[in-house]
Amino acid sequence: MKDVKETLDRIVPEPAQMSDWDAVLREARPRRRSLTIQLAVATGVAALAALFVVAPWKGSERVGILDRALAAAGDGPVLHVVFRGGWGGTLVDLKSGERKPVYGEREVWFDPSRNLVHQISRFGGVVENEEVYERNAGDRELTALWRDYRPALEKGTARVVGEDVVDGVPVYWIIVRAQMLSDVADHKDHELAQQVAISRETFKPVAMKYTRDRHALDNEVEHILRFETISVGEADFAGDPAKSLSGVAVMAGSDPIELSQASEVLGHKPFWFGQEFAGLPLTQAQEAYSATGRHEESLVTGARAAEIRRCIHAGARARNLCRHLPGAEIRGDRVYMRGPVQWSPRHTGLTLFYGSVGDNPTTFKKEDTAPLYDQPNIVLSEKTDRENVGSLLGPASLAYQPPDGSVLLMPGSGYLVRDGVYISIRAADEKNVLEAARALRPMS
Amino acid sequence: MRVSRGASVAELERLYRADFPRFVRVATAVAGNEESGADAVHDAFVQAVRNRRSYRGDGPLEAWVWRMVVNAAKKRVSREQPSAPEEQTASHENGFGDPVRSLIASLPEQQRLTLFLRYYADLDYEAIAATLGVTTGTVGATLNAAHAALRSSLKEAHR
Repeated sequence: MKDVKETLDRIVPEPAQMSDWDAVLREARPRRRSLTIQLAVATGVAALAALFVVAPWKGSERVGILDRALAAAGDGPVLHVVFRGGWGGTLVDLKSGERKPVYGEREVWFDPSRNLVHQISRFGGVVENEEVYERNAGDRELTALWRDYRPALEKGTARVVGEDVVDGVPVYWIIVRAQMLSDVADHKDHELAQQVAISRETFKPVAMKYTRDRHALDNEVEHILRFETISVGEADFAGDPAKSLSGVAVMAGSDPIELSQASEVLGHKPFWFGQEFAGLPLTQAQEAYSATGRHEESLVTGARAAEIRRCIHAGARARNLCRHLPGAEIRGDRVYMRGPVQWSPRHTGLTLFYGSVGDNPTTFKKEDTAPLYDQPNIVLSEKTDRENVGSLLGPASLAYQPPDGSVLLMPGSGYLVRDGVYISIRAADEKNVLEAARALRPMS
Repeated sequence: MRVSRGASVAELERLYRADFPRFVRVATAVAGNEESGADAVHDAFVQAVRNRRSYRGDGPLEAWVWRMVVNAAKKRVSREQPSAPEEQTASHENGFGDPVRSLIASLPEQQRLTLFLRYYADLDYEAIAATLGVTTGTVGATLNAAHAALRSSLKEAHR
């Protein structure tokens, strides 16, 4: 039999393909059993019956809720939603200490017939980023609101599972999609569900959450500030390429300078906390620089564009097909190939480090020192111009500007504007950031 | 009423990770090329995860999955028939024993599958029988017939 085995080995050698279990799970999960069956399995018919008996939204009233939710969802071909997600900060008035939240939001128009999305991201109401792109499967909120929400109401598979108050708005929570999935950790099945909260007054969605066994994952609730389905004519798919951060590359660095060079480097009289603040000495001044770049792009048409579309839409399973197509991107109904990065002129700024310095391991000179960020420190960064790169280079790179006399607190840092200088303060905690912001004064 | 034992995702994952190369090799042999073979294995495991509760436990889980892999690979063959001539040309160029390949292709389907499961998947007679839904005696007889046909072909090819 050895000759047969050798011959067969020659004809089909050991495969070179890589396994991809995640891809299997991704494809297996979306088409699971229907919500009705899932719920019946998960909780049993008796449990469902109990729900109808004890719940205040029982019987015909419950049906009425879902009917009214369906009517409020509208039947326009384009979905228009404004989400308020988990990112944001707190604006603090430095004199009064008054605090108010500043939220990040995203406004989305989604046309399923073209699979096209126009998304505007705003922080404190100011546009930070704007993109027009083909929807990808990873956009859980859009998927839930378009593919799951209305169909679940239409088919009658949606279920009211509770009442609540979200941001002061009384709501009903509705499960619009549920799956029983095994967890390799405990070898048990768990219910993973997409829930949508509808206002008890308008019956429109006002929040959504993803739950495991009815508990919100990561305690995250996505707020929906606006929900409507509109006509194609009412929708906005124009976009502003100048506001797009897609494909933006960022480079940044810093070099030590003498403190006497600070004004020259900044191009403005710098602010500081004096030679020492909160027991931390000013030990290093730096010239900070940054630049943004965008890839050159060329429009691809015809057979080549069709090949790229096929490749990208085939997803992970088409690894071999896509290997020779690096840098291709589909935006709207167009296909682009990316070229090299074109960099903007450098922006320079000033950084003052308060804390300990030690030997700089990147140079051979004994006199060179580097800030020790693992010891207590406060970092003050200032610049007179800035690129809008979201918060990639810290909050001072946001298009949003805090009003005079206030500081925007974000995790680990604060951001304020004084006399045309954009200032960011990094410190161990919020108390230190606020104390430092109050202590700022022009360098003497 | 028959109660399904069901298979867990963890069991399927273990099988997938442990035996992926063997699955791909058999699927490649059936489907005609490695890419289709890998796709067939992917499709089969997607089906296995989706339908895991229908696994009744009256045979090895491995055989239940092998059946899905073989079926997925067979589906790929029927779906991709038009491209077959091109692939045959390529195999000539690769210098693989073309007369043997042709002979294997001309064997009855049951013989081919039995050969692949025996030599590429390294399954024993019992597992092959469970996979193909036949008795172990039939597996032995089928393998004998396939060996006889192949040996005579190999002798001719070496003359």
